[in-house]
Amino acid sequence: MHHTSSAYRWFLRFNYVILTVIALLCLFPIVNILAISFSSSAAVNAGSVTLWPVDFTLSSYRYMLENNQFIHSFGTSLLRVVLGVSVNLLFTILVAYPLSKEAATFRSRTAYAWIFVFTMLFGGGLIPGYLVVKEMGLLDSVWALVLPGAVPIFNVLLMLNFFRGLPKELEEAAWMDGAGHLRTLWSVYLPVSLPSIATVTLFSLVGHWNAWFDGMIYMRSPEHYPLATYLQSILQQVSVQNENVTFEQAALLNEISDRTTQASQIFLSILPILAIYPFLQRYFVHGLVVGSVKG
Amino acid sequence: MKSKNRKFPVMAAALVLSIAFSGCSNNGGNNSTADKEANAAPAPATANAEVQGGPLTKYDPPITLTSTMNETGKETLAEGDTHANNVWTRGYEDELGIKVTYDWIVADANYNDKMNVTLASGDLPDVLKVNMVQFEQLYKAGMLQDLTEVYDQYASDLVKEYYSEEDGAALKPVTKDGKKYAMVSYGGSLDSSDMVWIRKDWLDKLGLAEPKSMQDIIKIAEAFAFNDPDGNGKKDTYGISLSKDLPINGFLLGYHAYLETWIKNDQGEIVNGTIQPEVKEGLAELQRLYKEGVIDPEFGVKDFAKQMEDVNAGKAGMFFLPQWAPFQVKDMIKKDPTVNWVPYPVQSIDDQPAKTQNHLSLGGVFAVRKGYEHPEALIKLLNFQAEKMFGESAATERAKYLNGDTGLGFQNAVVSNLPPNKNVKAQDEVEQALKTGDTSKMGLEAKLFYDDIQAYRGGDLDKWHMERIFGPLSSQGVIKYYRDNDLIVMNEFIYAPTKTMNSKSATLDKLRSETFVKIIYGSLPVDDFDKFVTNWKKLGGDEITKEVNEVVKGQ
Repeated sequence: MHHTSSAYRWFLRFNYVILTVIALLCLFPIVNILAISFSSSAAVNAGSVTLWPVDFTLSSYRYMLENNQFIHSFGTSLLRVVLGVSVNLLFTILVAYPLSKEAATFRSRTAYAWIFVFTMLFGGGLIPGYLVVKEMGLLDSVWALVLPGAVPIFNVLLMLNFFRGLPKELEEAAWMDGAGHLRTLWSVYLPVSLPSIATVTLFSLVGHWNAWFDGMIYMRSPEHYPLATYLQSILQQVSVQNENVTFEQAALLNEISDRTTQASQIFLSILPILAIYPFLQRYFVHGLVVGSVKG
Repeated sequence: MKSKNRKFPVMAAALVLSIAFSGCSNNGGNNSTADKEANAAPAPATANAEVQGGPLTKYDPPITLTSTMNETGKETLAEGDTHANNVWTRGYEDELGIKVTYDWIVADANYNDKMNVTLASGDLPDVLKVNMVQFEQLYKAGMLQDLTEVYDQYASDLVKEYYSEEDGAALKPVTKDGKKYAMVSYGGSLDSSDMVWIRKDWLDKLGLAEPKSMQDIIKIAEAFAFNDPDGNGKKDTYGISLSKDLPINGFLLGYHAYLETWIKNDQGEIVNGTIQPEVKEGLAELQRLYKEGVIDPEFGVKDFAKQMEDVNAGKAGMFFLPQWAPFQVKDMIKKDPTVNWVPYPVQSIDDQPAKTQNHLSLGGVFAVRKGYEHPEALIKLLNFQAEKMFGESAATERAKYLNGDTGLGFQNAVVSNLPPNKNVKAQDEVEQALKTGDTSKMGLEAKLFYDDIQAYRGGDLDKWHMERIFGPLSSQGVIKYYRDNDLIVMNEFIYAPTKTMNSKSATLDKLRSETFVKIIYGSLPVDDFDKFVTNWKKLGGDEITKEVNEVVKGQ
């Protein structure tokens, strides 16, 4: 109300214009992919598709529905996300809660915190990681995608700082009423932490959905690929242009490299994340701590 | 691609380390068994040979063999088959008594990364399908079986014939001190020939003759840019289509410049064609053409797919690609049958004939893990594939194994090798048959190509590419012309990348492509080519040249 100066109105307009442009820039590739997926491959190869399908056809979607691999991978990815996000959340909360306590209550807190931060800064490397997963007998199972990243330290730090920002009075009140740590965590901390839980959920959700490299390294056959690995493999295949391509390879690529099919798969693969965003977003909008302490 | 290159040295280092470590830790046990086998080897080997001497004799009882697979041929599997269980694996088991299983199956794009991890973890499959770099590492680590004897003893005549083509070039890269440490998949070098693709319909429309010299090529390119070949009244066409990867070999060859090719100079030394003065002449002409507006002004930001989009949209009348180019433009013909892409041999700027530059490239290297009891099984698998596709049983069984006669199902064989340069031979037969109408003397594959061409001539536009690859006026026809007139410069270096190549090639490639694009754009003067040559030598080029000469002379 108090911002009615004309400078502020100009600032607002300017803001809207910039944000609209940025939003359009983000939307453009998605719309382009969508248009390609509905176009004929001849039109796509001639580069005549931008924002609207040319020679509208559903053939790429039909082909995909017959393609077991896509559906398989989609299922693997869903399973991975459900398992992965649950495991991540469980550990994030269980690790963040004790670490959020004062050193007076939890004496070796600093030492533990450093151990966790250390793993954030230094990794064991690809080959040792592979050997560990292999020796644990996890190769080719969905757990190889879930367990190596079970404790996302960055999320832990986020959560930890959020817990520390909570009013001390909340915890004290719970103690007064005779609640132990678990009870405090479950009945007091978690209900007021929904915004940050939503945040870390989103992070690990997107992370799991998009991760492709581990799928490639740990899976023994493409039937077990998560969706991102599968997409990566079909999209990279098409890069042929050198003189070492034989007639047979060219003939084969001619059969499999169809940009319309790729586009339809890319588009379907972003749908789940697009669908989940709005549901998580409402938690970002209103924080729940407001009004929990009356004084 | 970039990220791959960055990752690679790390992986290579890890691999070397792990091999070193496994040398310390678990090899104690392995070594002693290997020794025992070595001591005991002579007797059973000969005994085996007597029992199962033939190239295709069945093992009884069956043996097992593990390997790895890329799923390139997924689309060519028969209904209901998988990579783990298909017509090939069943054939191996039923006819050879070899039970082939795969440790992993992976998409082609990820194969190398996956193999690097496998090698590093030390858990090797029996048959190692690797690239040259990995082969070299395995060889140096002493992890490969010498295959010389089993090859001599077991390889079928067909397989031996394929490997003896081109002076036995195929097995040279994997031969060390006269011993063969791997088999390879080698399609011959002829398919890598460069050529010039021109829209003949535009030539005809503008009343231009077919090119006979480099001067003609340049004139044609200019006419395509300025004389409105598509007849829409707008200046919206380019003479020459390029991409940021600079597919300019077909142009530079007109100046006798051999980009990225190791050639012998007059002193008998091997030098890199990229830094020779002929390249400079070619670049100068490209710079001039670019300034004139003959080349797409945006080529420096276009990748191959974008370049082909322009070509398919009818914006360009000339490009330089190898024999498979028709696959890239076949949709265009389906939309407009008057479009007519025709390949021409590279043309010369002076009285010296222009030659193509060819490379020996291996489609795969198949080695056997040291300590595997049946190294000859690898040879038998190759015999089997050759027999089913080209041997006596091909007439009845080829269709089954390839999933249709023209199928590409050989991609699903655990190891496969095609007859080198078979395509140009097939073209010859096709051309004869089209002339005489006599198809009785044709090979199996040539007949299939012939049928495709007849289908195209009968109106099936989907088969146009076969006419331009195998017909009388075709890319394989151009290759035949090169072959018969001795117009081929072979890359002298056919071995695994040298040490400095592994560490410096990426830098040098980047330096080259950046400098060349800038020179063509005109933002650098042509004389900066000399500066590029100095830098190239300093940044590892000299070192690489030295190594290349050592390797080639050492063979």
